[in-house]
Amino acid sequence: MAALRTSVGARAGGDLVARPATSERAAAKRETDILLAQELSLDASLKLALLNAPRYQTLYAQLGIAAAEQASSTALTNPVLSAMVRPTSNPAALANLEFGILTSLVDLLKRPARGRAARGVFEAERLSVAADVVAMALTVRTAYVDLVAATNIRDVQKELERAAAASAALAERFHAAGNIPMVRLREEQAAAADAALSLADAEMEAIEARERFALAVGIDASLPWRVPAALPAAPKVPTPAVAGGIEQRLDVQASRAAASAAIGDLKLHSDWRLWREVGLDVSGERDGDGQWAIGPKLELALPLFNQGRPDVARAAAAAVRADHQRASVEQAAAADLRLAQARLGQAERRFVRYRDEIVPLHTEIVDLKLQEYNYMFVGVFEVLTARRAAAASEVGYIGALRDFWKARLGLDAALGGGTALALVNEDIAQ
Amino acid sequence: MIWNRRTVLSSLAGVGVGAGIQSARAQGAAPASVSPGNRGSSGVTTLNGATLPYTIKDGVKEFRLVAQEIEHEFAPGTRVKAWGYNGRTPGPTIEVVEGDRIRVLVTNQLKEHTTIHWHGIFLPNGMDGVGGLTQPHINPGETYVYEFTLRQSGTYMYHPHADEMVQMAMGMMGLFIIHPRDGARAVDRDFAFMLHNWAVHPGTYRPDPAVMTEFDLWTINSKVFPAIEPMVVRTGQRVRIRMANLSMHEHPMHIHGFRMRVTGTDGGPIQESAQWSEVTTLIPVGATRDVEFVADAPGDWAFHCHKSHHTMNAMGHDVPNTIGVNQSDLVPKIAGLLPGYMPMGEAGMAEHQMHAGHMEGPENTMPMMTGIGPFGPLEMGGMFTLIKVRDGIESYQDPGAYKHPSGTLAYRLGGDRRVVTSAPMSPGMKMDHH
Repeated sequence: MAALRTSVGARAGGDLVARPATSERAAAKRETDILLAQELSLDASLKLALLNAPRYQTLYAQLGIAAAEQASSTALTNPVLSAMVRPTSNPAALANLEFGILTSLVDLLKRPARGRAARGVFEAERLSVAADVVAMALTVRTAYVDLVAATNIRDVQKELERAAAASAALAERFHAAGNIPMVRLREEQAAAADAALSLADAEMEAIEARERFALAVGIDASLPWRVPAALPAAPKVPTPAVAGGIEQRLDVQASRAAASAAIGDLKLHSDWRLWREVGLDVSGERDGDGQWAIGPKLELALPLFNQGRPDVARAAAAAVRADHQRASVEQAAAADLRLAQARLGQAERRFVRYRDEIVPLHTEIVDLKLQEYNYMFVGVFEVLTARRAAAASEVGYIGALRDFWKARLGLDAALGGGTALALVNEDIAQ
Repeated sequence: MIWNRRTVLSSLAGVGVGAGIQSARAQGAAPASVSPGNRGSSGVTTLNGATLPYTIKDGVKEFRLVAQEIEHEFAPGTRVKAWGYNGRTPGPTIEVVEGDRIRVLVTNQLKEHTTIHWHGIFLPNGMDGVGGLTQPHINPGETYVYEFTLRQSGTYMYHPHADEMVQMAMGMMGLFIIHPRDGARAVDRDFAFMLHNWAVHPGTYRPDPAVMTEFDLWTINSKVFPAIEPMVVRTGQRVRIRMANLSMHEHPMHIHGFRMRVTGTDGGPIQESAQWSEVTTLIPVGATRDVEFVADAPGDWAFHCHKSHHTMNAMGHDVPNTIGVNQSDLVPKIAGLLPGYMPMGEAGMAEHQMHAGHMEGPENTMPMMTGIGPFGPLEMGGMFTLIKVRDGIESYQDPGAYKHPSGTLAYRLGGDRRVVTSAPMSPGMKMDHH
């Protein structure tokens, strides 16, 4: 079970912690409080989710059920003890006693094969659960990236709104002084109203992003936890290598395990097609004279009418279906990986263009406009318009940075979630 | 032949001609020989300029002009790639005497063809320099020879007559001064300059020839104040100012302290009975005017175009008017968004020159108002210079600021009537000329 937890946890970038006991819940609460007291990192967010999100606990329970089912499916059928007392009408004679122990020979002989099949089923379930965990980790990370970006955009929109409001306030002064016509004033005021609305939208988006993140992590959005003002401008680690391709993907592994299990099942049915019921019986009987007769008994269902063909055919069809499903999953996974790579490449080019060209250019334009203003080549409104364009480019940059990080996470997920390098959880090593 | 001033001077010495002595000297050189056009002086003084030397071959004065791209400075702070002649704009002044036969060898070092038109001068039609009409164009690398005899006197010009709009907008022009053969109309100081306009947009390094009306710089001999040399005169001297206009606008040139007699146009000298006096003389486009006056009042007298925007350097024309707009309480809000923002112009634009010294402006661009005088900022640029009249001077070097005799200076009511001839000024461009 510990191995299972580590396997799943490593892929998710954190340890999957069960906390059924009250003492563990208290510990989880303490750890949560410590994490919430600091500015939340992507890493800490995932830890929080593992500690708090009910959905993780559900998955963990699901693994428990799967493990129990595996154990149950490999257990032998208990032998059947039969005992019988038959009193006689002869007072001198003893009562006729009969007992027997019946066990299924087939069950015994099929046990190794059955165990293999059960392990296959469990492996498929384990991988499926792990895939769910990885998907949820992606949800948490994506929500985190969305939240930081939305908060950052809101802050920049505040600047935009301030620039527009300042421009409108100035326009009022110019108009009051008799220096600009009403139409110019109204244009500035309309721009300021638009900017105020955009700010309101950005504020709402930040609120929604906070709620979405809190829900994904399993914490209360109204608590005063906080995230950084901005996403990291450059990735700390290189883009995950895609050399391994789809091999590490959990859905691929799960579909392969399911196909393998189906073949095992088919073999089981095929091997025991004719010998559906073989009973081995040891029974004894005491006659009225007190003599015991003890001997074995073999019960064999003769394959005259049912030779198990339908079961074998079903298992064969299931195996074929499982194999097709595996192929389909592999195909979809390869496409998903290619797309994730393409998305990341595009997102990176876009983000780098914003970072290295668009934002610096707008910043410089504002400086140059201010120089022109200083020498009376342009008016203050033109400088403020440039400032607004610069802020708008910052909004574009933040969006591009957000999309870049999401594409990084997307590629990580497409590779199976095991290479969430930026988010490696030190718990895994423990 | 290596052709420079030294060889010209030696050849002149050898020939010993008395007429048309070149005056490539700096303004400060001591008055030396006599030329027919100047009493006690030696020819025309081209402000910030030079007179073109010549050699004499077979009795013909031979000049050489090279059309080329040049590096030109309007004033410290603004340099451009312009076009001109012999390394300068305007090209060197051709100064000759009525009756001279001249030969001008024109070499084209531009990347496009050119010609030279001798503006206002009587000559054979084939020497008139109109590309395509009276001659083939002078292609890059070619040298053309113009040769004619001068049959008039007065103030004229030369300029290209090929891709004319571009080539003149780039600075190609020059003065062509013909002194009368008989030495008539001599003066003590004979100044000459060309008026021009330039589209040198803020932050650029090359004149924009596509501009037709909204120019950035207004120049006297391709310089803007305070880089324009002053006209230094000894009290009592008779002064002539020759003005030629190749810009797109006419210029009402205004003198302070004197009245000018208009003594000549590009039609030649005006006979005395037809001359008139005024303090502002309009110089039409493509025309020249000679004015004369006796500098009988010492002082630093302004001389400038009276179109007030022609005494400013580049400025925006679509800037919202800031006069009467109080922004003081909004400044923190705006400066938060635009660090370094400073509101200006509530009371007027005068503070602009004060701020311009310490606020960053566009590259290669001068403040629109410049110049520091003894009493403060002059708030002038463009077509503005000074006539500096001083008693008994021996040198025409810039004598510095005029010292006003006691009781001759405007004073602040209730203030100190002591004469102040220098005042501590904020940083800014001083009235140096280069």
